[in-house]
Amino acid sequence: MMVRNRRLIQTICLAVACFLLWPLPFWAGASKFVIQLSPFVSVCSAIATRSVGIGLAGGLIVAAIAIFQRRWFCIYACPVGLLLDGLTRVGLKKSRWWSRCPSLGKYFAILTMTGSIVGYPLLLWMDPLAIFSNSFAIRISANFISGALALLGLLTLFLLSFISGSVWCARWCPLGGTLDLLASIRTPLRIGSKTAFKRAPSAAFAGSPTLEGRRYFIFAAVGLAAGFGARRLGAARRENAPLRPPGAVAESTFTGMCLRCGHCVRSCPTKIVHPDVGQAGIAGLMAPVLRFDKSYCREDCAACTKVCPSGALQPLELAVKNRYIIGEALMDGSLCVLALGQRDCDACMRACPFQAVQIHWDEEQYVAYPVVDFNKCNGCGACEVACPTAGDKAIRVWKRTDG
Amino acid sequence: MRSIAAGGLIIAGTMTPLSSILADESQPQAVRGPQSQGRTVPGSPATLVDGKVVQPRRELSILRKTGVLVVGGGPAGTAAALSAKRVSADVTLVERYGYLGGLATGGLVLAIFPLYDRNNKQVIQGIGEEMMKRLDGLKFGIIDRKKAPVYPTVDAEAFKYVLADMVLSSGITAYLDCWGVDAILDAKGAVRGAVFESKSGRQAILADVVVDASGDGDIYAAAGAAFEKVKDNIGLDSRIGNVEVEDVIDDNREYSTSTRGKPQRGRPNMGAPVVELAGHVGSPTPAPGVNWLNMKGPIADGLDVTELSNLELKHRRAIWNNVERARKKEGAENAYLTETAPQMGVRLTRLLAGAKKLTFAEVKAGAKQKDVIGYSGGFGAAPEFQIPYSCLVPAKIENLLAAGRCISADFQVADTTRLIPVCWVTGQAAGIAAALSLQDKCKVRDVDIAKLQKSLRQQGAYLG
Repeated sequence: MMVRNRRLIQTICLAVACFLLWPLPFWAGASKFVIQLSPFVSVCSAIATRSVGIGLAGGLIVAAIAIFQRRWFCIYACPVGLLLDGLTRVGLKKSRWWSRCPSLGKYFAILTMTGSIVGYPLLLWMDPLAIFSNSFAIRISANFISGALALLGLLTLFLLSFISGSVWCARWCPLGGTLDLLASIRTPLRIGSKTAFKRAPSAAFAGSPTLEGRRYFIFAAVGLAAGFGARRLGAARRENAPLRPPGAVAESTFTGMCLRCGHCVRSCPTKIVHPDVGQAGIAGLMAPVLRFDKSYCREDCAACTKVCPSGALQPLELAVKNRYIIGEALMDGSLCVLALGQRDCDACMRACPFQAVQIHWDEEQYVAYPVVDFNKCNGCGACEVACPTAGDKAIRVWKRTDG
Repeated sequence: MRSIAAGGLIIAGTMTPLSSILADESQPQAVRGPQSQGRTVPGSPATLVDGKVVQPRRELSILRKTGVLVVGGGPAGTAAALSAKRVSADVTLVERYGYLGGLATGGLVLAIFPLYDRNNKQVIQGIGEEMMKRLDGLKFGIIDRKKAPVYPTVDAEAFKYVLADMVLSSGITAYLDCWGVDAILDAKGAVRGAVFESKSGRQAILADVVVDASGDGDIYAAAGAAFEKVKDNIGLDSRIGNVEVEDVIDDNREYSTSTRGKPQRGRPNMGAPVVELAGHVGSPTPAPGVNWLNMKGPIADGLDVTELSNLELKHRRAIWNNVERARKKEGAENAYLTETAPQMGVRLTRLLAGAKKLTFAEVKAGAKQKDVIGYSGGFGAAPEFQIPYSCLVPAKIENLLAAGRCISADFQVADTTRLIPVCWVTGQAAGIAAALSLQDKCKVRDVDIAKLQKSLRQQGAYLG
């Protein structure tokens, strides 16, 4: 009876999550709040961005209940939990080396939390709700590769569960680990006396308190150090860094802050936000980048900034978003058909929604070419789309070197 | 000629009807040598009074009385005159230069752009399409017809020939080398004709309706209509011969957005762009081995004679210098300058304050116009858009219509409506509307829109 109720609730939660994550127009922020229910995400991103928003409330409620009912979220609510549970039942349940190693979830959580103190929550992308959400990008994927990328995370979890049973849920999930950590503070506080709702198998692997303490310390230190290191690497990327969607936090922390949940990719009406496949190295894998080959970042839209659950993209009002510097448009005179005298062209000037491009007459060389006013240009890419050159565009948006 | 008439010989393929040849014959033969002065106009020179130059009040001779007077024989003016004539009006066409076609021929603006909508459908038809069809029938007349999104390029001389032939065989009275300098208003302030300067002196043409296709809105400005003055780039186009570098240019001719499969270029330098200083060779024209060169030129005042004169001299010098540099390019070693355009490429000067001003916001939103008279093709951020009749009609002045680049539109829209095919569209509509207003004895602003649209469709125009 108990089990059947649990299944029913969990199935309803799965349905609700699917309903909200499939972005429906009635509430743009809905899919964002689904992910913010994970205290792992909402707490770490609150620390990393040094800001408290309404999104934190859901995560804190889940966290508060977890102090008393440790894995209640996993058992009743988590949509990934339900799917993996099902797969575990039909799976091989083979014990591999990876399923024998100690429960890592809470160490991942510690590591990410200390990382977020320095602004780089290293493993935030491991949140199961984010992984679940990203699979919905399949809806808008244009080809096989982007479809495969969208499903990559969830399918990995499926495969893991099929082969080795509940290794993810019980030992690796950082959200589960966060809940475990929360429950463990009950012992020193001496609140609640009854046995845990359900003992997770991981309990058997818990070592002595001293060993555990030492591990906490090591992972916390690793989180700090890795956070520092990743930030420095990110800062070093600078001008070679890919273009990020508007509202993106500094490049040095962006790849850490980003959950890879795919919300921004899906929210973009002009489909210019794409998951990165190597432009920013391993650290930037699957994080959103902008490509202006088909369309540009429209002046009447700030959708992507409104749906980010982690704050990697800060919510911006339209007027502010239009002043957010995505990059700068630079003209290559050796490609420009106007500068080369091949044709009368002012496509970039006409396309610019901010009148940032003017056709400049160079009296010295007796030639005209487009000149960009960097006080007006926000790098929206309209000029790049409009540029008529057949191969490389004569005007392209580049990351600003000073930002 | 006499032998042609006497023997009834008709040259095969001639586009001139025999009746007009015979009409020429009825005129007395000119005699070489001293002539009688004929009708003399009493001179009334300007006088210098207290350091001021004063033009005395004087009566002007009336050259002609007409139904529809079209001032300007460019793309808009020729379209207006030809289409008005087809609605059986008495039409007079006056042109400042010695040929028809305006910037499309004398300005060497040989690109027929923009013609297409976003789906590469040609949305400009009517009289312009007729002209292009005529060019199609000529050797080296036009290239790249019906190859959207590539737009056609015409040969200026072929186009001059086609327009001369169309006007001659239409029965329009045309005056060339005749510069419209003033409007004639009646006591109520309505336009009743225009004043011209030519070798015959200062003369008047009286008309029931005047179509201002002067490009600069010279006549509506003189009549006191409200307008917006704007500045734009002014260049000077030219043609060079003996060049075989078409293939290089072809790479960049098509609008394409593909960037895949090619290594990306590095970050360009800030500041001055890297410009190839080898000289420009332009793009191909229908004539083999001949390219045309467009020049953007600096932003200048197209109504200021000092600025225009300086600019034109500098442009002509620069064009020669460019050809010398262009010879360093492979395939252009023996290139020579065949001609510089007789007319400078003045883009925009005056924009009428009409019954309606067509705005860029409207155009971008794809606004449907109740009084649509045609389409402009898509260009830049603006997709194809409808042009309303009300932006050809001045806000207040009667008996006057504007056509061509000086119609009532904001600067951003005018940047497209100034282009040759769009001038055909506004010209044709203005011509028909003028003729209809005479037929129905109504003001041009009260012309029955349904009738105008029907007549436009009959003449092959595309209205959606």
